[in-house]
Amino acid sequence: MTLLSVRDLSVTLETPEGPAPILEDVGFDLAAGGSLGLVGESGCGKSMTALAVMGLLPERAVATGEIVFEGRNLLALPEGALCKLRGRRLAMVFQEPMTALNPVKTIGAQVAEGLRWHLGLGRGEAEARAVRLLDRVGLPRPRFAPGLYPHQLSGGQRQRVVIAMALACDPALLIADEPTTALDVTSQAAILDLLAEVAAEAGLALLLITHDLAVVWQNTRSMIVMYAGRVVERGGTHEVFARMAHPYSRGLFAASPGALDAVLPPGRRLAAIPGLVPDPLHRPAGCVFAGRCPRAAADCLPAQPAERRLAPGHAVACLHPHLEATPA
Amino acid sequence: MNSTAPLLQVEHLTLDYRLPRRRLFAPPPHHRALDDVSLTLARGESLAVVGESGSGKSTLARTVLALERPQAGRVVLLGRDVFALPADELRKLRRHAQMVFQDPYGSLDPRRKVGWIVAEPLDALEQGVESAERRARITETLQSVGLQSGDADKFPHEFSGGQRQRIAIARALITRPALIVADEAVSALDVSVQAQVLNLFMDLRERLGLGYLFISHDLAVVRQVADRVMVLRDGRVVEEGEVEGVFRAPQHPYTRALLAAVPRIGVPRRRITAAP
Repeated sequence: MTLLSVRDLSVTLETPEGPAPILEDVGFDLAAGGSLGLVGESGCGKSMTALAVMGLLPERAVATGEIVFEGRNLLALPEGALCKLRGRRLAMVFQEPMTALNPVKTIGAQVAEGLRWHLGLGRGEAEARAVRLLDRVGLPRPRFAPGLYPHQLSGGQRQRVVIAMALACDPALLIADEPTTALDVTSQAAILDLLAEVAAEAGLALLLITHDLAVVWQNTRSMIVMYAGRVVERGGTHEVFARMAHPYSRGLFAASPGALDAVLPPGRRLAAIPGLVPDPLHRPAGCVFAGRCPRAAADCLPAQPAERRLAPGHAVACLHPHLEATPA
Repeated sequence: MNSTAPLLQVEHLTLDYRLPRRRLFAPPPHHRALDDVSLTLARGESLAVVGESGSGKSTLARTVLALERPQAGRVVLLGRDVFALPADELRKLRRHAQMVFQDPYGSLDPRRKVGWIVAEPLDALEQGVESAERRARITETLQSVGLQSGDADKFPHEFSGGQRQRIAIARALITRPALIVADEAVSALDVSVQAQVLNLFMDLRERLGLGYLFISHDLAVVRQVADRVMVLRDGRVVEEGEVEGVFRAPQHPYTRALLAAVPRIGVPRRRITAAP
């Protein structure tokens, strides 16, 4: 069953130099209990997509299209109705746990806040539930008393608190925006394990935003690759990796030092993608990647290429996609 | 300068940071950031220092550049003990070792033009450089990192993150150092741009024979740029060796835990028990 369906989502930001298109025609589906990875580099629109789903876009932003969640179009809901969903059915884990937490409130009170607000629990009951939630995310008493403050915890422990807050009201969708980017590699592994565990346990859907291809490979069933505000490739995670069809996907893959299983021979270099992401005010009329693309041809320039299906559940928005397998 | 000495020798470095006083009359507690750390770096060699936050890797970088003073141990750069030198001698030595920082947004003065930023170490460390030569050095250095001479008249905000890191590298190169200490120099960059900057590091090394002390938490990056790797934990060296050897057959359990935690494409996730 489709839990979240995003259709033709476009977001435009008013700037002093005119309207800047941040997202253009973004669409994807996420099934209940499913997992979807959103990859791309900074400025490609990953976080804006998450904020649009959460109804947290900046005020200067105008969103069009549809974001249907549990049968209701979130873009058409009034703020009051959104407030009832946010933190209740829709939850989010941010990149920086220190800024996501209130430094002057105890972790117990912060986990209990959603329970009291959304579920109307009394103080005692909410706090008892908060203790259980903290225990669930690996912060058991007495070492991690609910009376601790965020500054008394490490980065990974803080991110656990944020996850406990997100899980508090038993949401159907958890959006994790670069949840481990600020963490050490061992904490990252532990947090990803925890997210996978709680998602499976509670049957919640996970929208995982990351710039790290390996994290997507290991943690999601389907994925979309975004570039300059557009979806350029989508499909089952393993299918997409087997045939990185869009030159941008393949470029990202080739540039990741982690994709290599050995050291480059002397004199060889990593495959960098030349140039930069075009800024939203000056995007080309045609394919947004054409300026950096080794396969670009004259037909890429007049219009944005439509998405075409390569295989069941694998589509690419490119006129000259790679049809051969990704080199090992 | 002693030309047969190794580029850098670090011997039994121990450094304590003083923590806030707990009681008025008791001595303040200390945190041992570096505990008996030794290393040798030959000219043109690249050594990576890896570890998690709090392992002491940045403290080691700062101490090597004499920005911190250790309680015990020596740092010998090009045959000279940096903590035994008088201040003016130390300043002369500094032009041989330069640093590139993590954040290309925070490390460049937004109100200065790129030419000024790049030439600052030259102005500070080499007296009596004539203005024609100064200009030539700025141009030469900007070109060596793939920027144009005209970029000297622009401000940092006109550049993207990857280009700013090139500016930061140019600034480190202008005194023609033998050692570059790069502290998480590509961590803040996107993958495609990170590859551009890593390639630049490799090019410069081949062209100029630079030695690198490469501080990083990213093991995949380390594998591509370093000859040897040293793993730090709680200020102590737990393992050191050739990069390929350490990656293929890590000896210390902590190194194994670190490597096992790195997510890899094509390798299903294994549940790991994280180091506490």
